[in-house]
Amino acid sequence: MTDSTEFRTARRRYLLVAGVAPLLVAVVAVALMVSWLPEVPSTVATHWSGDGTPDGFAPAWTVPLGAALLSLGLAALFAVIMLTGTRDGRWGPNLRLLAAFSIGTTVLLDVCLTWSLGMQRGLDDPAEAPGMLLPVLAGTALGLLAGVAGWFAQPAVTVSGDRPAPTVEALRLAPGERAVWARTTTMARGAKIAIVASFTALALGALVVAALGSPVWWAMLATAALLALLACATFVFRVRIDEHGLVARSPLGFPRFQVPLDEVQGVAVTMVSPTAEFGGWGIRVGADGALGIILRAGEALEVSRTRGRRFVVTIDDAATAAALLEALSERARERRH
Amino acid sequence: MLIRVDPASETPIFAQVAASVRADAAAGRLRSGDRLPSARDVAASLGVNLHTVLRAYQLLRDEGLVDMRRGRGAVATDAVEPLAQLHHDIEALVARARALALSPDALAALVKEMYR
Repeated sequence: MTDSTEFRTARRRYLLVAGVAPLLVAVVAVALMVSWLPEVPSTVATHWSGDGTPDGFAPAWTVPLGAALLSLGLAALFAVIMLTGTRDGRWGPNLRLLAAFSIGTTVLLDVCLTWSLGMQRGLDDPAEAPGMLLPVLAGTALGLLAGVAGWFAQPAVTVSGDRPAPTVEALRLAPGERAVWARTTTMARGAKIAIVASFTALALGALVVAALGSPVWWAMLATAALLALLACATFVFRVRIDEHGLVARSPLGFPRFQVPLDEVQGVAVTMVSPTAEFGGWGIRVGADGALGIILRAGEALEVSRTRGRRFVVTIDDAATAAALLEALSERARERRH
Repeated sequence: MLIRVDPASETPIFAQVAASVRADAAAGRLRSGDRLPSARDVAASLGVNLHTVLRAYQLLRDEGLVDMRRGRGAVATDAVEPLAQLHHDIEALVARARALALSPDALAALVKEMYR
């Protein structure tokens, strides 16, 4: 099979597992819930407190509506992630995992919602609704099962595109010559906007929860602030190559990654496809275990190490960086012998 | 940004640092508005005195290639653009030399000759 037919097969299966299958699950769940509407109280329990007693209520029709909207939204989200992320014709195991995650999540969600409504049939007072422990356990088990099935329903395909085996020519250095290469790499604007938007949504959600009078709002807001801080710390990295090796650090000083010169085994310039190879943007672990600082698509410096995982950082002028790192590590190797 | 110094060379270290920055601009690696790495980092990486690097940055400032701003460090000015355009001329020259089957060493020798 050629790469492009493999790619098309993988993509079709992804859409089946991440889009079509969840929608079918949602159709069954919503149909069941709608058929039960005459049997449940007009207001049903929709939220349970930590000790298992219902503490949140809503009109019964909102449950099937919520299930339909959530399932549709998730299926659309996972389809869009894949379709926009694989326009360059590359594919990897991360996408397979993403599709499995989509079907698993939808099954968990729809089982819990359907069960929560089903167990309130024949009740007069929704406050008498039983706890959610059993439905959540069953939903988790079925979700995991669906996820595993979704994983195996897809082919194991890796299409890395036309990447020629890169050979880096070492920079010519005089015997005592010293050199440093330094550059700043910044996250792509689109990824930045998406990340900031998601935290804003979380913060707004916290405000809504606060307005509803629930005490968990401050925990949500704190989580949003913490995640935002962590994300901002990974928007910009300063990368430096010198006698000590390679260092990439955020302007805040943390996170910081380094590859000592002694551990450099090989250096390459590669083209990175964030979604296919690393499943997204930020600090990422790739399909084959590579550790990546993936701030945008395109040119990247890749360092294989004598021990530990490969290190990849997306950066401009990677050719010069690679040439210098190659020269310095060659010199370090000669010095050791 | 690639900065290289050879202690064995007769050219003073600070002049070598400044020459590296000019070469970076000519290679298209340093554009107007780009921030130079901090003098402290460069000094630590090259194992030279901080004042040597600062002297180089001051030389570049006197030439108008960089702007020194408090808190922002050294930033390349519009004056690097002519050097960046030289990069296009060099690309064109190399393309012509390659088309005429002239070796890189021969071309470099001709350029050096011309400089005298």
